[in-house]
Amino acid sequence: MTAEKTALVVATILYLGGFVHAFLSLRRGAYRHSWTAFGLIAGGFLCQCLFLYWRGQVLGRCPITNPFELLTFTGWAMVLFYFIVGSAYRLSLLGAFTAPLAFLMQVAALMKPDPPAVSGKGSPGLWTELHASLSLMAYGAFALAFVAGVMFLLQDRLLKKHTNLSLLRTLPPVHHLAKAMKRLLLTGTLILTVGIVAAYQMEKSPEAGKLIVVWIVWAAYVLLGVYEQWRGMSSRRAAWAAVVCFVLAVASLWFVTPR
Amino acid sequence: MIFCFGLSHATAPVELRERVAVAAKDVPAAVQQLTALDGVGEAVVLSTCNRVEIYATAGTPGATLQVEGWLRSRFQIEDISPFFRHQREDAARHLFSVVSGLESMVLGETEIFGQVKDAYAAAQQAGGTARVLNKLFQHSFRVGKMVRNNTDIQRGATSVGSVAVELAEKIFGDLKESRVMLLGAGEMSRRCAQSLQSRGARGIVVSNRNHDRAIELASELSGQALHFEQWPAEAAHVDIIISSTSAPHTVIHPEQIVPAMRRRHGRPLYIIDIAVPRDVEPSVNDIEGVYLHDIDTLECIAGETRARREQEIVRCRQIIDAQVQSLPLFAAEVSPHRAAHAASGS
Repeated sequence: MTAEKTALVVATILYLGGFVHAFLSLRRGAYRHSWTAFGLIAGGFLCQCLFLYWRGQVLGRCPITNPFELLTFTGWAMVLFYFIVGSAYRLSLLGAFTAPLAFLMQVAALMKPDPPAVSGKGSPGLWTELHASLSLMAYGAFALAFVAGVMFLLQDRLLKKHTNLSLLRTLPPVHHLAKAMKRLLLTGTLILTVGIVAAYQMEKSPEAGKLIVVWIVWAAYVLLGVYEQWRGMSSRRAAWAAVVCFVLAVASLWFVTPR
Repeated sequence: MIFCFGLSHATAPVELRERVAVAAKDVPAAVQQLTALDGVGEAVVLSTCNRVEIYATAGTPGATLQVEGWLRSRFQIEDISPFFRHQREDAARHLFSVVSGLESMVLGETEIFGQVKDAYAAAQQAGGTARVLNKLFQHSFRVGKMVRNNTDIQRGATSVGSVAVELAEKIFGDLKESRVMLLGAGEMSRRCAQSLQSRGARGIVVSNRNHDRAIELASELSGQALHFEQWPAEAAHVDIIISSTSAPHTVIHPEQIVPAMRRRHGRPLYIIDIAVPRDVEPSVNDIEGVYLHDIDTLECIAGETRARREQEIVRCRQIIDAQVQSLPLFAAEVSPHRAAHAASGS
């Protein structure tokens, strides 16, 4: 196994470790912020960084040339946003919920064929790279908004139904989750907007069908943001919308990415 | 040899506890009196509203009798049978249990930790501690932290007021940006509001049918009074509503809360209904962004927490026992306890 592939396998194991650690703590009803959980996720992230760096060096461009790399890059972006948002809102548990998704994305990536990277192929053009990488970064933000949305819906239900006290005490405050989720949605939408604008600057115009799909995803998130700002959408509806929009975004990847 | 004498809420009525209580300013003098007794080497006096305890070291077998005599003469009591006595490991075990909150009236409460620290500091300043009690008390603080970090003995809230605060924090996180409105000016809502204020809640608004009573309570809580008919308009600007009116029917309905929620731009609203009969129509809980808890729910949560803490006692005792065994103070000393244990084993 190559060093870069080994780094990804280690990342997958570390994310699995983060997930198992959090799951066991939650099951015991005694989840606390722990450096073990943080260290496992940070370790996984660093391994992904190594992979992307090495692969980028070989390719001479951002390593998003096949589904294997795309999934790895999106998972990496999601964890990156977790480190930014999680620390800002002291949402250490967001990591516990991010780890399983990062693990699943990594497993899915590893199951995809990884054709040998051809060195010196060079960049397909600044705008093409910018478009692809920014769009995937946006998907990373949407993935984390999805995670925060799921956590919000869970905590909202626990507070309404007055059940499972230990989980209620473990999950972060609904207001923090709602704020983090809305900011992630806004950040993702802004990044995706720049990514779409970049697509129109590409030397080779993207296929119309693919563009329509991307526009639909973009429109869904923009409508969500506009409606939230205009009518003051409840956080619960925003959380459901974040979940549904992310499913739509993931489905869109199937249409727009190279296979 | 380490020994301790004491009484607590579990062993003595309040009449006796208040009689033997030692005021904070008198603790240093009491420590000095105890260490001046024949055979008593070191002493620490712990006096709180729920317990009075003396920890001391005995250089001679008669030291404990000296302390008994001191108790009789100082507090003018003949019968000292309500006082429990522990020696050696048992005394250490008892101190560790006290510091960990296992002997407290509210199981697992944390205030006792600070009280023991204060008692130890006072004894130290009065020159009442040396090698043995220094080691014992410093170790007890480590044990207290160990128990707190490794068990759920101090987790969760055990009273209605503290459950309300805990849930408010699970909704808003930091309460520093939260405004509170009291509907009704009863004692329970006042206590709840004070608990929220102690956690940083700002801006208390009091609304009551009797406006004079609202003004009175508002000034006590440094808040503002509001005429009762104006509260629905104010609901959009507060984050927590505590309702405890004596109305025989519900006073908070969905038609009053829905318009307020529209003006809150997604910010949640927490309603605590501690009135009996209930003040808030249960369907209010169905409104998105509104979290409603009534007195039964809060009591139930507090009860579950208390039960959970009871279950944690076994784990706490295991930690404490292990720490007592590892205490270097007893390593060289063969206590009667251990000798008997060894004899029965052989």
